[in-house]
Amino acid sequence: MTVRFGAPYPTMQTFSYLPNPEFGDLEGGRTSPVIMRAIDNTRYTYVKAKDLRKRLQLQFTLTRAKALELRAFIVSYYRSRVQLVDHLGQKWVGYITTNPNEFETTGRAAGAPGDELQSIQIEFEGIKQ
Amino acid sequence: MATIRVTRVNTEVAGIDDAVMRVTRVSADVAGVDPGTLRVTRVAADIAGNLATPNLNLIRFAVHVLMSGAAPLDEAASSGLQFTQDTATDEVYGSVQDLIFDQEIAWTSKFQPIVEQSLVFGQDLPDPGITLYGDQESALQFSDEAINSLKSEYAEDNLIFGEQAWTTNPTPYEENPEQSLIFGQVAVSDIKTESASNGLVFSQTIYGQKIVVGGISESANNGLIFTDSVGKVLILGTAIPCSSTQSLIFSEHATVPIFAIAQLNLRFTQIVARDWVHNIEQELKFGDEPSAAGSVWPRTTTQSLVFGHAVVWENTIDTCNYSPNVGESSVPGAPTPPAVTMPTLVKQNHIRLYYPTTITPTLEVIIRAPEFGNRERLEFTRINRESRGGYLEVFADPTWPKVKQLALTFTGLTEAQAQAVLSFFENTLGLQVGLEDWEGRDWHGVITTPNADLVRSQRNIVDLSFEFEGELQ
Repeated sequence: MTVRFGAPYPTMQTFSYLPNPEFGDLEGGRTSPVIMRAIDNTRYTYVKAKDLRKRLQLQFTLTRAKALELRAFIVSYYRSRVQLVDHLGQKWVGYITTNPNEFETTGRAAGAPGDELQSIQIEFEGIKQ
Repeated sequence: MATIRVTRVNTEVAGIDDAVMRVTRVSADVAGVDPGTLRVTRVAADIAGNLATPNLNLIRFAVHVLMSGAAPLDEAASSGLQFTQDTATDEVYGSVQDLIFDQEIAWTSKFQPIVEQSLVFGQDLPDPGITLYGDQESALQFSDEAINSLKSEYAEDNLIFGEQAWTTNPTPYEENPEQSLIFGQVAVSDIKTESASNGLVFSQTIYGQKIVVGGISESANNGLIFTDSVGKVLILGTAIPCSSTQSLIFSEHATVPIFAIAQLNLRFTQIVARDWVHNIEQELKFGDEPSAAGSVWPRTTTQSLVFGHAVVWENTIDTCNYSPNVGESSVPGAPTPPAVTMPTLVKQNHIRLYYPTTITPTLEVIIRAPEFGNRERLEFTRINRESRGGYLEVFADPTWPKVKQLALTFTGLTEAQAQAVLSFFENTLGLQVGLEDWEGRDWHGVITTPNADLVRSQRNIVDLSFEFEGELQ
């Protein structure tokens, strides 16, 4: 499997394919229950569902060339809704919420496009389709 | 008073014996002088006497009277050209009726030849002078019916207009092939009700009386195909109310006791299979244009339905090379897509700081390339908001600030190189400088950490870190 970013959703014009993320990727909900207790000790709970939105955190190690592609993608669509097909084949629609997006050159990769490796951590908030 | 003129009298008298006269023939032609008077043209009488009786015996008398100006009671005129053929065969059906207009003129004269074929339906109903119901009708009817027990039934009516204008003469004559199917009806009268109607009706019905599972296929199709059309509508801007309307109305009605579906679809669907050539285009244009000719009335035109389409295809699935799959989009305000080609990188083992950026630099420092771990940060000004229902809304105006920063660390600099860098920082405080990075890319921006500290980590080895904020040129 690969990871695919598509934007702008829904009239997508660009697909960008990335390799699978590193282990340690996160997937968590955004709901937040509020628990209140009355004076008679009755417990009341309120839930902010937040549209059942979830947050994904993905760490990618990319060739320099692919990092340049992802950089161009972010520059073009930082304010657009994005479709993400993750490494499990699940489709998500939301936003890349990472700000700033930081590309770090981690080492040399002779023979790989760009001869260097870069890593970037992407946070994504969206709804599973 | 008209006189009678006897034009001719012939008498033959013969007697058998002396006491008996026998007139055998009398003939007279009598004609009047003035028109309209009685005119006896011929009188003939044969008279013969019998020997037994002395009486005369008239045996024949004939009078022919001719009169002019009398109208007949009934008149009828009819012309009929009837084609009737009947074929009744169990296996072979063949019945042909032809009304062929075929004319040919050989090119033997320099005058313009004319070949014309006309099938004219003309009927005229004269005014009878009194109020009567009157009908006149011209009909060109095509009616075919195929009913038999054979495996295939086929009935077709065609009204084909086919014209072609062509010439081999190199002189560019005008050539105008034209096909017209004109419906024109006019109702003009003083009667209470006036009605004129043009109808172009497509009606097809298929009755399936015997259904075999998986065996019989039924379909009914009406086609109204517009190929090429050039229309011109002229609306005069005067005080007279004028309107021009063109309508293409789809109306469907379904009435079934149990389950009814009435659906109107105006769909534009185009699919192009994945291949080297991709071209999908759908256009639904609304064009309004107000005319101000001859009037000062304010006019406005509004279009409120905007269609945009985007297409992208998975042409390359590559996770190593620079290979974004960029399609096309006509959506208004759509972001500019990434470049499809990778920026050119020219590897070099140094970076260059220079000032100024607009003319030939007067200050310049060249040091070795930075250590691994260099960072490039992209920071955008965006508004992230959650709505009352918990929806995430992200907005950013494309003109809002976008900050790009480089964080670089250098080790192994000589004391002189480090001092030169610090001197450069002091001389260009707050000024736009240039940075040519280790990939040959040119940045213009400012040093955001001019107070960076030198770290003399070893003898004659100096480390230095700074950050740069700018735009890639």
